[in-house]
Formats: sequence, C-alpha cells, structure tokens
Amino acid sequence: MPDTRYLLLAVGISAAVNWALRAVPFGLLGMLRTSRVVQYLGARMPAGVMVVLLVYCLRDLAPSWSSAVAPLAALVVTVALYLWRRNALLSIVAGTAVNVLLASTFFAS
Amino acid sequence: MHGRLGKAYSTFALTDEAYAMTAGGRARTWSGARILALQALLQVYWVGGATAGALLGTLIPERVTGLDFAMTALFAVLALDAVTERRGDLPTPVLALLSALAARLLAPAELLPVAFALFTGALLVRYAARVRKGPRRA
Repeated sequence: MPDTRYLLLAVGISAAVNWALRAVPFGLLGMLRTSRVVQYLGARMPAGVMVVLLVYCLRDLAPSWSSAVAPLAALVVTVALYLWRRNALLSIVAGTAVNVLLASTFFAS
Repeated sequence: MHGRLGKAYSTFALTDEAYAMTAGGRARTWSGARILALQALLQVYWVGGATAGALLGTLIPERVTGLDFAMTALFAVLALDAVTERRGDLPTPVLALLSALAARLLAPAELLPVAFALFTGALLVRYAARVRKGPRRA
C-alpha cells in the first residue's frame, strides 16, 4: 500500500493534467484571436478564397473554344450586371439564363 | 443548450446559417428553445429546398444544359463583393488568381487544396515582408 503523500500527489497530478488538457484548446483559441498573423490572414482570406472558388468553377474551360464561349459570355453578363445593379439574385439568374440559352442552342455539343 | 437530446440534435443540425446566426453577440441572450426552433426551421428549409430542387429538376428536358453555371455566377458575385470590400488591396485578389491558375496548371486534380496552400503561403510571405519593412519605415 503506497503512502498517503504518494496517493495525494498522484491525484493532484492527474487532476492538473486533466484540467490542462481541457483548457489547452481555449488557450490556443485566445492566442489565435490575438495573433497578428491570424488577423492579417483573416482580413485577406475571404476575397482570395472567393477568387479561387470562381477559378475552380471555371476549371474545365480550356479544352475547346466553342464550349468556352457560353460560360465566358455568361460570366461577362453576371459581372457587368452586378457592377451595374448590385443585385446578386438578378446577376445569377441572368448569367445562368445566358449560359443555358447559349449552351443549349448555338454551342450545344 | 440544455438536455442531452437537445444537445445531440443541436450538434447534428449545425448548419452554416445556424452557426452564422448564433455565433454573434446578440444570440447570447437567446434561450435554448429559441435556438432549437431556429435550427429545426433551417433544417426544414434545407431539406425542403433540396427535395423541391430534385423534383423540379426532373421536369427539365434533357437537352437543356448549362444550369450549373448558377454556382459559377454565385461565386462571381461573392468574389466581386469580397474584393470591392477591400478596395485598394489589389495584391490579395491577384495573388489568389495566380495561385488558382498555377494550381490549375500544375495539379488540376487537386486544384482547391493546392490553390489554398499557395495562396496562404503567398500571404504569409507578404506578411513577413511587411513586418521586416515595418521598423525601418517607422
């Protein structure tokens, strides 16, 4: 039978490790919030991520020029309309309509 | 959030919208029941929208193509908003565009992870360069 001091020490250390493990994520979160690098990235990420996602959507554009006409024309319509009216729904619906019209008729594969 | 069932449902139904609405400071005074009701409503709207879309989709004739452009248009609009919000910060969208094009050429199958890694790396280099230049300018 180990002596009382040993048992108390064991319980104390277990409790400390247990609490530390639970507190670490909160501590890290606090550090991340005040970190200037994370703030720098956080301010610039949204714009960059959206640009990357837009390129991702258009990734299959290159193969043949005739298949690229419809999406490119639709993209021009979407962007121009959005810069003019600043109405997201209008731009998306009009751009998609242009793409569907062109892709289903003149540039159907 | 109280109760095991409530917590289980709440984590299950953690949609983007539910997170966006409850993470703000105003939601701190909301009751658990109110948040649960909000999540149930959002789930109905998600499932309902997806079901309606699937049913309506079967009505579209086979030869009509190109509806998937809606996704591209959505990201175009979101990108325009995000970029114009940071007017005067041209390097950020340019770096993102270059990262995405490089990933498209170098690793077309892994475009997204490679592009995000390149973009993050480019921003970190930019940050490091700015920090080094900072003290001299001050």
